[in-house]
Amino acid sequence: MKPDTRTLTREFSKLTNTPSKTALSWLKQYDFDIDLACLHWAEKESKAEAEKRIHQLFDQFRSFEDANIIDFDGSAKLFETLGVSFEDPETLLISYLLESPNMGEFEREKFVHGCSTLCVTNLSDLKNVVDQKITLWKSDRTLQKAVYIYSYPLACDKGKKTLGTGVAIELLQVLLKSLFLLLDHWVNFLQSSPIIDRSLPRDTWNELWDFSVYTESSPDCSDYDFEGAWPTLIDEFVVYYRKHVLNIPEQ
Amino acid sequence: MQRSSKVKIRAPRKFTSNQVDFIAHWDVLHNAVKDIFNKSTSQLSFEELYRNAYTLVLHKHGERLYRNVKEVLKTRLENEVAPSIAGSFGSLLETENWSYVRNRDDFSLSMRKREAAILFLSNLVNAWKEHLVSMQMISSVLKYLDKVYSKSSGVMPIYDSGLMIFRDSVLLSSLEIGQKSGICILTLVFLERIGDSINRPLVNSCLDMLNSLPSESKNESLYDVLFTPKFLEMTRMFYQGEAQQNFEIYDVLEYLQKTNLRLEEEKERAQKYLFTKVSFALLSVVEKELLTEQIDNLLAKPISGFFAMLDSYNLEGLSSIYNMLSIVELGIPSIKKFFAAYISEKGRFINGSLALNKEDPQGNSQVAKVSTASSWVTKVLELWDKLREIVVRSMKEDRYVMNSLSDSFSNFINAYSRAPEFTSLFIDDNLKRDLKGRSEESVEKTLQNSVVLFRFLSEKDVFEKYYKTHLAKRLLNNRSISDDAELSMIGRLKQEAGNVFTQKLEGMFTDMRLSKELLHEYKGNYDQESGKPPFDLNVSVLASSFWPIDLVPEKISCDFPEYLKPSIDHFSNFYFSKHTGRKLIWYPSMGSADVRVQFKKRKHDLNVSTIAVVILLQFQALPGSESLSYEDLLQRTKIEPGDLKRNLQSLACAKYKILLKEPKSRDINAGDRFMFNDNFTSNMARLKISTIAQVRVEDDGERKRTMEKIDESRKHQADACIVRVMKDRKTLEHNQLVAEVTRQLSSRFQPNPIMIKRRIEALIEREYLQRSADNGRIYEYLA
Repeated sequence: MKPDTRTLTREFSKLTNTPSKTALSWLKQYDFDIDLACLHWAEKESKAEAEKRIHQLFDQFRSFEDANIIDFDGSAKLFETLGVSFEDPETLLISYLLESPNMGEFEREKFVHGCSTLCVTNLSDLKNVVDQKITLWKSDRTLQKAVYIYSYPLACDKGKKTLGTGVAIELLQVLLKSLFLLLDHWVNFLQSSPIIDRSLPRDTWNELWDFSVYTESSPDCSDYDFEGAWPTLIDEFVVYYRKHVLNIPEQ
Repeated sequence: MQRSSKVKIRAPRKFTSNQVDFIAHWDVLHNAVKDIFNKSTSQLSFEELYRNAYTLVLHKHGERLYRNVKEVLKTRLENEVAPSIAGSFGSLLETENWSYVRNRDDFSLSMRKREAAILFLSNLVNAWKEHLVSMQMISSVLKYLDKVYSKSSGVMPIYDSGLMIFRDSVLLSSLEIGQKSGICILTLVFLERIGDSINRPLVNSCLDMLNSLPSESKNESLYDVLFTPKFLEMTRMFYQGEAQQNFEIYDVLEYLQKTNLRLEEEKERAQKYLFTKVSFALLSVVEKELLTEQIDNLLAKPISGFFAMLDSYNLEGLSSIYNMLSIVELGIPSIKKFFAAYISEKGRFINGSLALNKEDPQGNSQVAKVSTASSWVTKVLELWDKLREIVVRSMKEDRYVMNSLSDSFSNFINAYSRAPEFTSLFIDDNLKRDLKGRSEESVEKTLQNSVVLFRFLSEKDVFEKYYKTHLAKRLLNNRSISDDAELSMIGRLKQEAGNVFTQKLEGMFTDMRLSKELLHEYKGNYDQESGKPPFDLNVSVLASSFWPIDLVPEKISCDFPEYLKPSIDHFSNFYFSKHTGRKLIWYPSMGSADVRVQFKKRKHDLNVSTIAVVILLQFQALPGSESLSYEDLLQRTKIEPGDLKRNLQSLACAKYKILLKEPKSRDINAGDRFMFNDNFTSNMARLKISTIAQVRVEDDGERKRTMEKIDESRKHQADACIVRVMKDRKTLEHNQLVAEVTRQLSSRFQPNPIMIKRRIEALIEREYLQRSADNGRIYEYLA
């Protein structure tokens, strides 16, 4: 070991209060640039510190049976603390932000990841961020889409991958209320289609977002591409819509 | 180089222009020119005149001389020549209507017109020729002028200049002699077209004149400007009229003959006295008016048109239609169009005529229906043979017409939903043995033709399904003509549709061969073991994946009578000792048996189905006249009700009544009772009681089930195909994927894009695929 590296190691060790072995590996990683090494070390340390705090936050709501889970009651408490009622659509947004796997449930790892992404470590920060996001959610299309897409698996029963069309309709009415112009027609269509007794495919759910965007520029679907990649259920809807709602005879 | 001796260069002697008397010299020349014009040149001295001109040019009077000569020429042509020519233009020629169907002039009028035109043209041509002679002389005299003056000051030689003056002062003057000459030529051509003979050399000379003179602008001659456009327009009007008239008067063949003559005539005309450069444009006009404009009318003409010729197999006529129409660009496409229309009409007729048959009363419908299939196929093939022959023999096997033939056939064949079934039935009919009155070659040829039909089928998978069923019946009932014939048929199908298509069919043959070998071995063993077997057991061991066998529990549930059981078990033991880990399922509804039955009067050998044997054996143990009810039989044998009914029907309700049924009726109903008919008599010792295993047209219910199975199998094929494509390409845009899958599947069937889309969605659901995050139209393969 060269004298200067030895000095550097000693210095790093002193600064960060780490054993010399750890100090050496940090320094090596940053090519003995002690300033850079210290910076990254501090960042990691603070991250670890933050995560520790998030875990503590999680623990405030965790289930008694399973330490890695916030159960239904815990969720109710969490929502309440954040000023949101269980029936409010905002719960969907919060579930998305905190990566809830199923409605009314949070997992430790995902919760921590979610909070880190939002850069919050305590309840009051979380509440602030959630309030901000709720405001943003009212107008931001990207966020709206993300929440929309996230809601499908969220609303599925635990262990299931598909969503019954009936439940899906309720969810659509919450999520797309003022966004999808043809929502009422779409719902009527679903209710009259045999699909009502089955599940609504996730692909159709996802594509419906783009379809709703499409209908903004073409409310009568006059240039709808039947040869395109739209799911067949949407194809069928367009036929239904043009024929029964707009009364345009088929070509 | 040697140094030249010193030479003093002197300045040239100077002449001043006024040293020479221009007027005097010019007068001499002027008079000479006049003499030339008057053709009184005998007194002239060429040498003297040349010297005069020479002197004038030498004394820098070139320009003046040139100008004066031109002036003299112009004056003469304008004042003397032009008016005299123009004066000979008769008023008869003034207005002309060039249509072929104008009111015909009477003979004398056209003769007068001809004479007038010839007179005018002769005058013009003579004047031109004289002018040329004069100009030759003048230009010889003024050679020095050309040599020195014309060249250096960049004007035309006097000869050319003289021709230009003729052009401007005669042809293009206000007297419009050029235009008039055009009218005269057109008059003559017109007269020739309607049958007169005319003075061709005169016309040719006149055109030659026009062609030798450049027009005022552009790079064209007077011929191009004064003659060509009017000539083509006149030709157009003429043939437009003629086409209409000929179309009404003549039938199609005559019309085409006339047209051909006209084309030859115009070709010759262009060669002989017009100029070849107009030939192409001229022929295009004639072809357009006589052919292109009339194609559809001609082809559609009733009685003598295209359809009629096809109907009457008029090869000569069709050949001349083809030859004539292929001259013009739109000809072949029109033939294609009409050909397609003809085929689809005939096809609709064939398909329609069978739809009518279907409404025949139900009785005895089975036989009628197989013959329906055959007659459909035969009709289609007859039509194909006929039309193909027509294309080969009268249309030089034109590739485009041939394609349209194939496409149209494929369209109407596939419009007929029973086509795959009927095709297979037809082949079945021809591959069955004991067909009387048909030579091997004719069967061979028919089979060859049926491959043509197969080629057109877009739903090859449906065909395969039926073919398997029919083949199975042929093989199991031993009704094929020969293995060779079967294999050669399969070979043909393989050639058309590839290895994969015939794999299962070949598998069926292998099974039959292996079964024979196995049976041989089995019988050898049996003989050694315990002497004669109670009866001869023939077993075909078939792989369920190759054979079209319904392995539904009802179909295979059959309680074999005690008499049969030992043999069955014996064979099973033998089989399992050879092949471990296999499963044998006995399938009674496809086998047959020969049984000897003792009736009161005599013994008869009956050939019946396996199920019928099982039924008959129920009566063997039965005392005398006791009867069994349908329910008894059902319960004792556990045979599937449909099979049981069908077999009872053939035993009790058909020609040979081995069983008696109470009450008597055609159908088997619950509660019916059966008893053995001891009093049965027949003249024949051997009787065939055919029931099942008869190849026949499916009824609607069966057909629906078949189609459901096929749909199911198509879904699997589409799934497999989509996954295969995506695995290979990883990411692919929706339409490209649909196109590729359609392409790959089309050798089996014509997949519908919506179906493919549904399969894609199903695969997304099952997480074989996903949509790309940034473009929903792009799919990604998930490994």
